[in-house]
Amino acid sequence: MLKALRLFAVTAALAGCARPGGVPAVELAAARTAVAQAQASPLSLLAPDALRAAEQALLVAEREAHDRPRAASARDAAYVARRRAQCSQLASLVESDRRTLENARRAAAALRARGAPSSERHLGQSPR
Amino acid sequence: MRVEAAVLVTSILLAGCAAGRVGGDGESRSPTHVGGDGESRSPTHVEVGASFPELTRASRALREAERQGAGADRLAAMHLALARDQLARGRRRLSIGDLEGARWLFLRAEADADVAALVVREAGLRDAARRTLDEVSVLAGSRE
Repeated sequence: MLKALRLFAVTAALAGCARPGGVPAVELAAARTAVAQAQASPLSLLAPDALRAAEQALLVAEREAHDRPRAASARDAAYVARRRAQCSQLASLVESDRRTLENARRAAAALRARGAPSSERHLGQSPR
Repeated sequence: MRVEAAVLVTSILLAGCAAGRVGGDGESRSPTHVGGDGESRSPTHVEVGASFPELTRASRALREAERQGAGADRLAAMHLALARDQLARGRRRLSIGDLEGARWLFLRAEADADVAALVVREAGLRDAARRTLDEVSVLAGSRE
């Protein structure tokens, strides 16, 4: 009887320890992957500040996971790092789109200046 | 013998639970009390706004995402909803004096609000660029 109780107690204690500890490891891995993808993107050079923010957030997540692996802050920090990596990718795309738009507008203006039919009305519209 | 067993089970279970204190939102957090004198106090919203830059930043990011129309885009709206939820949970944590839990929730909210704003901005710019490039094609075609 005592043996069974001891077994139960150890199992319960291990379950109590494992639940908060296991999740951050998975989330930290996801954050590492997301930041690595952002770093690998050729567009990331277009938004260096956003990439730096993601890398910084990952450092904080690594530190939290190391110092307090079972605390909620470890999971939160990994979550923030993953989102910052998304921000990095999106900020790069925003900059890329903005440049494409600028170039297209310049090209359209040049074509109009050379006597092509005016599309002022169309091109003058707001981007949204 | 039975008493000994019961004490053993209880103490181990309590130790297991204490390792990760479960908060109201189902997450274990390390509370930091507001008072430096060891007393737990519930800060008012005025105190909170003045001393919590993470809350200010998260609220500002949320407003910016809303201003950019994040509610109208499906993906952006999802991040906007996450940001709102985390901001509300952070405020609740703050009201019970869990400053660290609140701080992390505000950081999460700010990050989600930033994603929401960027998603909608990127979609708008991509669409504008595509339309302008189409226009350039038409203009170039009309010259030939």
